[in-house]
Amino acid sequence: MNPLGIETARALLDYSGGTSPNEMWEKQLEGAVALYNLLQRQKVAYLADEVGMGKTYVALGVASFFRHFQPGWRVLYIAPRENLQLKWKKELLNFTRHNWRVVDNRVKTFADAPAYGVSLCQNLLDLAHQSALYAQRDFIVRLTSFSFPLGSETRQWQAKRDELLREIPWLDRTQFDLRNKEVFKQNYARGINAALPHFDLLILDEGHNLKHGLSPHVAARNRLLANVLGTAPNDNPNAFPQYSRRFDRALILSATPLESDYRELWNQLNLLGEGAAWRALVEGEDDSENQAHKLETTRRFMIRRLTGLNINGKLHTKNMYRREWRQGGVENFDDPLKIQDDRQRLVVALVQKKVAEIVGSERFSNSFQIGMLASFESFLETAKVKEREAEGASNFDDAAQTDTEIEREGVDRRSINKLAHSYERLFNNTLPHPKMDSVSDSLKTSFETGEKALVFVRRIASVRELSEKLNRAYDKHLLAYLQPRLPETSWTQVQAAYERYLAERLERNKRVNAPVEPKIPDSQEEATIVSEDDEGDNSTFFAWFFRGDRTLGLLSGGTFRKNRFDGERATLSTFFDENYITRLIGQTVEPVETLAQSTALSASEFEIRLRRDAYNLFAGASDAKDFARVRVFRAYQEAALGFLAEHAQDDTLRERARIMRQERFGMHVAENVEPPPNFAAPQDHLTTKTFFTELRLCPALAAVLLPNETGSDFRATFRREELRRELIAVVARLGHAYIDLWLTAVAPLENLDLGQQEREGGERLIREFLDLLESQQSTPGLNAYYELSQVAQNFDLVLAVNFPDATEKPIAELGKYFSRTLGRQSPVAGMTGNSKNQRVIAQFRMPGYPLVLVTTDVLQEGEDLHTFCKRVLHYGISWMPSALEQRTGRVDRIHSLAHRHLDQQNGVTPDQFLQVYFPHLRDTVERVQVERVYERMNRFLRMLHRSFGEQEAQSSRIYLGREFIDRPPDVAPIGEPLQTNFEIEPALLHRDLPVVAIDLSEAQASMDYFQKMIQELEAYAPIKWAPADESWSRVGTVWIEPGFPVEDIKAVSARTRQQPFRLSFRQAQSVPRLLLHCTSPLGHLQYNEGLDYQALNEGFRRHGYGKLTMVEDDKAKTIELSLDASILFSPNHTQPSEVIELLLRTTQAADHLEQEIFRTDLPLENVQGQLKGESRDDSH
Amino acid sequence: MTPIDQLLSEAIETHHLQATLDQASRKITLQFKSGRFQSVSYEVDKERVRLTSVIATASRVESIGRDEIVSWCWQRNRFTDITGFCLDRRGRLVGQTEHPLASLDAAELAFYLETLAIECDRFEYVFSGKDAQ
Repeated sequence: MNPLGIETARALLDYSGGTSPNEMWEKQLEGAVALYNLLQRQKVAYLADEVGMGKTYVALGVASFFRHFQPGWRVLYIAPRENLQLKWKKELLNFTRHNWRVVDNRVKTFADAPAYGVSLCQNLLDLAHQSALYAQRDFIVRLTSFSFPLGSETRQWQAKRDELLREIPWLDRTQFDLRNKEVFKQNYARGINAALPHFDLLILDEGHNLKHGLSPHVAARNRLLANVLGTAPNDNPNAFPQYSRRFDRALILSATPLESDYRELWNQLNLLGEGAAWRALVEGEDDSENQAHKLETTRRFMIRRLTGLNINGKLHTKNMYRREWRQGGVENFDDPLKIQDDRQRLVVALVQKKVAEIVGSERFSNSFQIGMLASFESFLETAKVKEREAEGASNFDDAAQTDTEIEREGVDRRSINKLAHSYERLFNNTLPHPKMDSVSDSLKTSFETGEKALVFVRRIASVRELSEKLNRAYDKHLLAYLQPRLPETSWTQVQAAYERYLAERLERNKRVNAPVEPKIPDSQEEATIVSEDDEGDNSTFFAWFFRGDRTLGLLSGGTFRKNRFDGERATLSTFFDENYITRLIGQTVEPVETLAQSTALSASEFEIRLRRDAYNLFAGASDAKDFARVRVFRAYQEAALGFLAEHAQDDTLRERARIMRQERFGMHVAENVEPPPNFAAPQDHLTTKTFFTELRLCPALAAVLLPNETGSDFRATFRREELRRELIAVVARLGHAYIDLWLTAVAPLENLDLGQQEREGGERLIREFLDLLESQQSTPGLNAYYELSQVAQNFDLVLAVNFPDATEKPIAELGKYFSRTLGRQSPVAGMTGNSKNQRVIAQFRMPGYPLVLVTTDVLQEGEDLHTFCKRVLHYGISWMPSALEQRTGRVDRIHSLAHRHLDQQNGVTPDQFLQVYFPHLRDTVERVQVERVYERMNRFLRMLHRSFGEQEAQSSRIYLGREFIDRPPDVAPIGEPLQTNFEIEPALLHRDLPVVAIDLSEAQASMDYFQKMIQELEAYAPIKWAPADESWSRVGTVWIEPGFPVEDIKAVSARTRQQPFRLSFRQAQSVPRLLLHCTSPLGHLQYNEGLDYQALNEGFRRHGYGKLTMVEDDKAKTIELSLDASILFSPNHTQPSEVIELLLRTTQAADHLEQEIFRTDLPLENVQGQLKGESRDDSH
Repeated sequence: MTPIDQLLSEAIETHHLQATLDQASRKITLQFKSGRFQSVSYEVDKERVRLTSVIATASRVESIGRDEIVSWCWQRNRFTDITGFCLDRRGRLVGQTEHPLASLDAAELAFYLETLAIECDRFEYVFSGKDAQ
């Protein structure tokens, strides 16, 4: 391979994705080029850019360069966890679509999709299965799959062994004996290794997770990983003769590659089989000369760049624009945390005494693990960890910190439980916890201001405890907000409802001693595709009263939404719709006349024709016998747009109407039936006022919420307007703003009885809600205006982070699409490994709920939470600076709230910086722990950015006696600008190399020839083509008489059969050649319908051509079968006769099998989904 | 030398395939960089050339279960470029590809031959952990 010059790279890759170039994109490109060139000369490279600089995209760039120049390359990605696995897949698709410039059919296909398969593996067995199924793909696995919990029951081991042997039957069964757990695990990993293909590149995300390498007493996960990858020594070659290293090169990513010692870096390289080549990192004494040598060695494989913001005219690196509250307080900067009263003081003293007794006992030698004392987080009871029955389970996150079961539980757990129990018995109240109480008090401000906070805890139980406290505080806040805004009768009804809610909560808590939050599915798909029916829950009064449609017998928020907004017949069903006719011609009292004039028809003729069109569109879309208001409204809107699109005299009006109709409604062909007399006249439906028609009449408000889109392409501006409108509508219906909307709606009612009707229908509500929004423009804090305006002002950012595919969705589906993410909101959310929820994560990236997100380390890596949050609380502290950096890094990224507020600004005060809290009580053992962590944080910064400090023994254990006497001095934050030690070596960018011409003519010629060929095929056989929606594939139907294709459409008879097919491009996987691929469906069946495999195989053998393919959908429990064949395709060589042979033989054979095995003759309409989903990717 | 033999010779020679052609038994044996081998037989019928490579014997297939094997083949077929896996008349697990001879040139044949051999070799490995074919 030749070195890659940066100018050639620029021709292939555009990190800006079409936006204006900036320094960050250039850094990403330079990184990708340098790493590509580095990996050509050596086996390993390390990208250690600061958090939030887009390392994922740089790595995807590196992989894409390799694949562009070597089309057969295979990549194995290792992400830390499931959510990041999904993120890698998402980013890979985004990168291919938006950043890779060229359709080269190596990286990117004509469909803007990856030109190679990508498989996302759920666990090690799945990796073996997917590899066995087809190896010539990229695989994305997660590091947690290598943590291999095995209970003490050998039955569980046996099941694991049997699963593996079913997948890889030729493994030697005797190697999996059930006597030694460690040996069993090692051999299991080697069994997986035997099934793996060879990868050209391994991309290891968050490589610091492996910093303990293969040292004794570290998590078994690392050893398992080394055995799966084939980098661990093979001490038993006879048992696993296939065992070998399964990758060539490795690219490691981490913003925190090491903490305090080069050994941590070497451990990572060594685990990947590169220890010998970089032994200099661990050799010699720790004198300054040797440290310099180690630094030089590291520079040979590591790249690290830093970001900075220009604040008050001066460069601020991360350490400078982050304000760290290191004294422990949360109210005033540099104040310690306050103990409120004597009772709290006594409790703290008592707990300190207990803790001192415990850690001072012989058993613990006056020491404890940082972050792993239960009492530092709360005093509530915690279950014994053993009850979870899983190996390695812990009451804390990052359980790998210690192997000791009692420490994983929290050494003080039992004593604190006893104390809490005793206190509760005596005082009939829970034991006060000053730290939790102060933090929860300080977080209440979020309910007023709308400023979000991200809280990291160590104890899994703390997520629930802190959330619970905040939820109760929120309830009080909400009631205080509602009371003055409701008439007395209504307020009394709300109070009664609140009592009922409390009773339900109490009942539920008694019934199940479990989190009040409902169990949330732990998967992206389940989490984002939720039922539209939200029953609400009893986590907060908001979730109970404003979300679910409870049968409370009154107009609660949830009931009001369902009855008045959501139903088709609801009085407010058009509230958030758009009146496109008003949008086009402006508000008028006589729209029929105005429209008629513009089409040169008489008003009466226009009205008759419009009414008929509207009725037919209505009838075509619905079987309903009555005329639901919103459906009739939309039918009139569509009909009027259609009419204008066809008959308007003015060219611009005609064209705009055509585009609006096409984009909003699609192109429906209506019948021509006379409407019944009770079908409404057009007048009302053309003049309907909606929230958005009236919003446009409020210029100051509209300028913020619905600004005019500029641009010469009307289709693009219209789509953007509609995207914005739909998003605003969903936020107003489902978020915090809905409280104000509901209050505006019910305030004039006498009471909240169900029969109460709004005066003046929806128009009054529209007017008053807009008035309220206008008044809130000058009211700071969290209110409807705040939420809606924040969404509107950061519209592009919100779309980019949460709805990247929104721009491709049909407008009619946008409401549901946004609702899936924004439904089921809660003011406070909790997240642990057992309840990860992508929907909540997405909501946290929006303004509004959740305002506080309490989480364990499950969100420590990879998730972007930066868009509307600049406050991080390290409530439970991690002993690793890298973990703290990763946690803070969640909100400190490109386009973060902090960056938007601070960069290029003057007059900025530290209050406006990104706030990082370390809450702790000063005069307690906790302070000792925190100081140790501060010292380590400082050392971490010095290691990576300036000369290295002297070596010091590092341990996660605190020895109390020593620490009290000799406190670490280096605890103040480092305030000077940081400079990296690991810049890119300029020679790696090859700026002098000329741009290598990228010949894309073959791809374009292929596309042109394909289009031409499609037309020519009709000369050979009658083909009914479906409308083309992609230029690189066509779907159609051919007719087949028994045994031969019909050559003349006139010969089609009653016995003629039809066979749908799809012709499309595929790229060969080993060489840069295009294939023309034909697929023709046999049909689909349910699992339980049974399939005679042998009869089908026999049928295929007799009639077959190409290959039979099967796709199993485990969720839908269906099987799809089709017949596929491919030929090499070249505009210079492929003849029409070859293509027609491919098409006719495939369809004919498919039809034979369909008739013989399934005895059906499915038309195109029944298999369109199957044809569209046809893909080598596993994720369609 | 028949036209297909000639074309195969040309495909092997001009495209530098590590392969030996045995015209008598109508078989080509390809060797890969890894040191593994894969045999591909060829036959011409109705002006089409069919390339076939055996992956597992009928008895091996029976020992695992025919239904399981065909299900596996069809799932795998979704991903392959040009190779179709199935059980042949004799119950063996084979990979096949078929193309009209008239429009086939040496470059195309070399691609089909090599792709088939690679995909069958990998399947054989997955299936048996060995290199018997």
